[in-house]
Amino acid sequence: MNTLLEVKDLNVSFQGNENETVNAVSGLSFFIREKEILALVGETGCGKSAVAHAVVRLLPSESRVMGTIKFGGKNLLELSEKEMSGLRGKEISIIFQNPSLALNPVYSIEHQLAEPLRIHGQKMKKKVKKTEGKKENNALSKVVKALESMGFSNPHECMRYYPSWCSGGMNQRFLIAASNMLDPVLLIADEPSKGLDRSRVAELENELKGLKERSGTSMLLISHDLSFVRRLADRIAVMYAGEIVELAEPKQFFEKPFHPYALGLLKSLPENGFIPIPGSSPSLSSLPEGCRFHPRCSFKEKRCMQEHPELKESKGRAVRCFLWA
Amino acid sequence: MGLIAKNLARTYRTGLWKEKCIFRGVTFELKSGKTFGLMGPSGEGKSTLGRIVAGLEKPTEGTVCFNGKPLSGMKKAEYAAFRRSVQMMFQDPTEAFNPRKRIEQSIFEVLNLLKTPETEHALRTKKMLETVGLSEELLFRYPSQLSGGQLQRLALGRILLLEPEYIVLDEPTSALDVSVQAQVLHLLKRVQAEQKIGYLLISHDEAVVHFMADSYGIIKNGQLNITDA
Repeated sequence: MNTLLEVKDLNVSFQGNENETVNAVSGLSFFIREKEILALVGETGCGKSAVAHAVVRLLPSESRVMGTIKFGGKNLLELSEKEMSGLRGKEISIIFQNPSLALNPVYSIEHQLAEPLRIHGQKMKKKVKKTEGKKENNALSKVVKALESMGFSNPHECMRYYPSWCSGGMNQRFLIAASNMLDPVLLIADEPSKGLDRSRVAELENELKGLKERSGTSMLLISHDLSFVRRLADRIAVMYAGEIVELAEPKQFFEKPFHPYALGLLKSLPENGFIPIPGSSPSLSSLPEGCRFHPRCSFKEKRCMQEHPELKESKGRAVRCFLWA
Repeated sequence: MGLIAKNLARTYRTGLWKEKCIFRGVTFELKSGKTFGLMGPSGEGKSTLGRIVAGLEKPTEGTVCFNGKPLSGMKKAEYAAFRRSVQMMFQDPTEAFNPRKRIEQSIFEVLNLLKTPETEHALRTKKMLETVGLSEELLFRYPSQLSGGQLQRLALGRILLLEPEYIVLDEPTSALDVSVQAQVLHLLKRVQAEQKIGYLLISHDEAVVHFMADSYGIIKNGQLNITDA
């Protein structure tokens, strides 16, 4: 399969409150093939969302982004804002993490779900002037279909709702429906299962799988729900303190994780008794010398405290650890 | 005596002549040192129920009784004591702190409300940080400089300064990744064992509820069904 998205040596940094530099993402490289789901997992604050926002170019203007993000042969970081707007919502869509901030409180759900159709359907409107009424009906039926696919049994009633009338889980499902309206080529899903109960997560899983099968959509799936990731992802990249520490297929990752952080993540799963990793992740403005995980690692050696390990690849997986040879 | 929810119902207006009842006849009791888990599909009113129990919202029908007295008939001082004794911890810790203030200022604000003498601020804050397992260095940072796990620990620490009898935990770990979730759950259990606090744990995650709760209820189609864990 061809590569759809290729991120090379991506660095994202911000100016912190004390004028210090916050290195949210450091030298990150990965690719996503056509019809592939790459999951990005890791601790809160490790830079997962910064990667997602860098790809859709929605980072704050004061942030510094370096490296290349190639999508369909073009470097997204070199496109004009107009060119980027043409891609956003149509070819590259994003499900934002916080539905209460991502939905506009003053517009109805119908208005917000139909927005991508309105923005990207303007050309179509000129061409099919005579059938405008029919086109409107098509848009409406698309909204209804999108709501039904998200498990809403009363889509016509839901369309009248405003975000403040709905629970966090319902708003999350509205956001997911909105992002899939135009069957994007690449979907970036930032914690799509957050706040959803088990049955809704299963529905979401089916919808995302269906989107991949039906429309060939590739996905960058950001989630801290490892069982959700296990069922959906073709490959898993584990991030820690702004960099990838392990990249593997789900079977390899869940059966034999190599990086000590990945091992700790699996131990803290409910089925393994919620055993926590001691300590907390470092501040991205004052990263430790050597391996970034060494202060919390129970396997550390002298070398881990002095040298920064590279991400080494072998047999379809990659690990950033001196202990992995 | 405990914190008792009796026959609670909540109805919302969805139009000029339309109303929607999200739950009815909900009754349960929170006991000291015990956890009652509340599960159910999204949109069934779990968070609304939590807010009603914490006194942040009023029910359409029914009452919440704290130490034998219904909230609706409480005098001002009694209600103030209730609000201090029943605290709520929210899902997203990043929204629990003022982004413009250092953590130290957000903590001292609570101590000022409690009329704690300024000379005791440092000591009480140090004790609180020890309880939640954080270093003093974090006090001088802004919320944006801390991780979700650190902020959720601080949110719990700030609540503990009020010495609550009950805490409504509304999806306290759903914004956290699995390793941080494990840390926060263990911390909540330890604090409960030490201080005999009663928890109402709202979560859609069965594993979390089974790990934490002594009994739990599932709210579905507006009804609550209670089971012993």
